[in-house]
Amino acid sequence: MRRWYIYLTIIAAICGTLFAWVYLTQAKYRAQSLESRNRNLVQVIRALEVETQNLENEIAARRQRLDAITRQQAEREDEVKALSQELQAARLQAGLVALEGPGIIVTLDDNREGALRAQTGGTGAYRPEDFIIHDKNLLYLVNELKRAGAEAIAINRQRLVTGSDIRCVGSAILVNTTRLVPPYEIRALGDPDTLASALENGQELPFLKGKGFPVSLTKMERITVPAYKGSWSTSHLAPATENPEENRATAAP
Amino acid sequence: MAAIRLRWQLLLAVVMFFLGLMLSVQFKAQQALSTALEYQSTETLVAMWKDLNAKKELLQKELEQLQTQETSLGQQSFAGKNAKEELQRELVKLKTATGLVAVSGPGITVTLSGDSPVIALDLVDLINELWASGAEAIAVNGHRINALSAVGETRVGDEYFLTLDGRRLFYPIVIQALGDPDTLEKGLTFPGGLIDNFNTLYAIYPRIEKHERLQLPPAPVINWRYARPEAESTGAKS
Repeated sequence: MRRWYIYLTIIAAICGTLFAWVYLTQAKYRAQSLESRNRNLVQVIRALEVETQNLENEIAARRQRLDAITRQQAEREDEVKALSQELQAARLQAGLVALEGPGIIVTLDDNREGALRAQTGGTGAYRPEDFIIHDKNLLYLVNELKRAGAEAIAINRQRLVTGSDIRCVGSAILVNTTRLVPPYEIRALGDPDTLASALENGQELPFLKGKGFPVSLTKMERITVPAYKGSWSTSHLAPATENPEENRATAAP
Repeated sequence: MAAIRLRWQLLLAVVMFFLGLMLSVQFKAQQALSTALEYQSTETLVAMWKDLNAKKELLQKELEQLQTQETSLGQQSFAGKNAKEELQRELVKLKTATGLVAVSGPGITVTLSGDSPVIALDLVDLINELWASGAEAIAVNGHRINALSAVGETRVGDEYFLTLDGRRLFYPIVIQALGDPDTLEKGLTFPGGLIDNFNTLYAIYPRIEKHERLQLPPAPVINWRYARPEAESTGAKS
């Protein structure tokens, strides 16, 4: 029978300890949940938790938007790159890029010696226009060069482009509306032999030589022809393309 | 004896049952106590509050950075769009001016009937005079003039004919010039001017007509065999 008491005692002791523990816990529970000091703190923490959550959400959304913008920008950069390549090709065609290569240099000057002789010779019929280079001389010479396959031409560093005119005002020659001063140096890029023989067998150079003008023609392995520095007037032009966007672009002043 | 033993066992089972129940309740209570904010010690709560405050500050900084980034990206994007539009405008202008695209606009036509012989130099003069008079684009018999266009003349047997860029020109030769029609016409017809010379010196009587709208095709693209861009040249901006 004594064994039973021992068991009972142990169980009672355990139960007692447990009861005490439960009581203490519950007491703490009640005590702390009623502590207003901590309640405020808890409220602040809860609010902070919500706030940081919102911030995190907003950051995520913003990152997504930035990503989209960056992608869009990369696309536009590609477009701009393609456009600038196209523009570079157009600038080359237009004459806005200096070129180099083999070619010839022709220099023409007014016939000052001839003029002096005619004036002092006193033979009577001195006509100054017989002794100066005219705009037409340059114009026809340039046409011969183009016909012979010149790939770029400049007179006294004035690049000839689409729309370039060679004319005189009084006794001054204008190219690209820039006044040129003799001697005139014509540079032409292309096969030097072809260009030289075209001029020598042409009309203008033999004519000027015959008249006693100081003329020289030099074949060159490498010369440079400068870029056009002027502008173009396109105020009356509209591109007649099927691309309406390009049409709009020029319609604007 | 057997009956007493059974009773004891029963009693023990009941006691054990309650003991288990109490243990589980206590365990749950302990668990709730350790997780719920309300049952944390003040020190823990203060530490948590500090942590959260620090986190919030960091997040706000990050957000500000993102906002700045977005603003500057937006400006860049706007600048990029502007750059693109600028490039497009420049491209169209260059292409238009130099003959890389078909163009339309007001202008005049000069028609040479071929009744009186016209030589290559007459045509060279005429084209040059049109440029000088403010022409913005010129085509001869539908062939657009570019920077390298040349007029020539060729004799095949008894036949003599003009060429433009190596192609035969048939009469009537029609020169189309785009630009202000009045200015262009005056540029040719003033006393002592080109047409005057044509009339009196060569008995050439070109017919000049003004048009509200002419359309010219693109010029041939220039292909260089000998020339190449100058090595260090970046070219001049127009």
